[in-house]
Amino acid sequence: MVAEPDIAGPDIAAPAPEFEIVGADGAEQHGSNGRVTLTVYPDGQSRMRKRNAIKNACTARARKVQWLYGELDGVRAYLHDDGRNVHVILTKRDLYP
Amino acid sequence: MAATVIINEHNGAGGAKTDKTSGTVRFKNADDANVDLIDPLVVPGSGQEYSFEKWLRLEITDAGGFTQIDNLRAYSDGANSFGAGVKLWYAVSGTYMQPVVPDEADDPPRSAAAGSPVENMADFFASSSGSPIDLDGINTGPFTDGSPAEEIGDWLVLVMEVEPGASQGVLAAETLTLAFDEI
Repeated sequence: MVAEPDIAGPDIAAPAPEFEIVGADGAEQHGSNGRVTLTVYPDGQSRMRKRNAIKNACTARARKVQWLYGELDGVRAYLHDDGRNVHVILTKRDLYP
Repeated sequence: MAATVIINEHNGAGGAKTDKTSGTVRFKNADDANVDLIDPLVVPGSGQEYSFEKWLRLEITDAGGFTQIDNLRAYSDGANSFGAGVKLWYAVSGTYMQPVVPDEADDPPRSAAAGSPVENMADFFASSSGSPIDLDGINTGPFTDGSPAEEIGDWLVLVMEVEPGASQGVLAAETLTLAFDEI
């Protein structure tokens, strides 16, 4: 008997879980949504935030998008988990979804 | 758990609020939150027609699951897709005032929300994710309560302008994004 091939899962990515942040600004912080984790080990000014956006606000297509960013000495690492891929941006710029 | 944040439209002298997070904000010639075809904007033969102001503000609707919220921003996609002869203007206010129709002798429109007694409003589509509108520059954060519900930051005041030659009919929705940081 030949087993059915193990094919890929659904073609449509499920929404990524929301991020949670542990730790205080200026100290070691961890941010995770269970799929991807960002850690800041500071040796200078640091913080971590969830950057939320209500896209297509005031329409039936309104949806929430959440990024996570960690900042160390003015340099930020933004994480965006779209449910399928994780995008990482390293920059000093203030970026919005 | 994350904070639950909604967008309210305020109307009338008392500023009665209506949750418009997923609901249409209809620009028209009446100060109400109803999405109907009553009191529509009329394409003028000359000059310009302005809608009543739309006063929008964010609100935290739960008390749990977050520490603080700040860095409130609003922005468009940077492109006006309403079509020729239709524009959208904005101002930011720290206090609520009953919505009015700007004086149609002025172009651009002037609003008390932009400054006392009235100042020019700005092009909403000049805002984008790269240059967002600051919505906590007057009523500054961080905002930490939300129990039982707490409106936060400044009011975003929008006015639609219709010029001669604009197409008639209900327009497709444009893109508005409201953003905030949370821990």
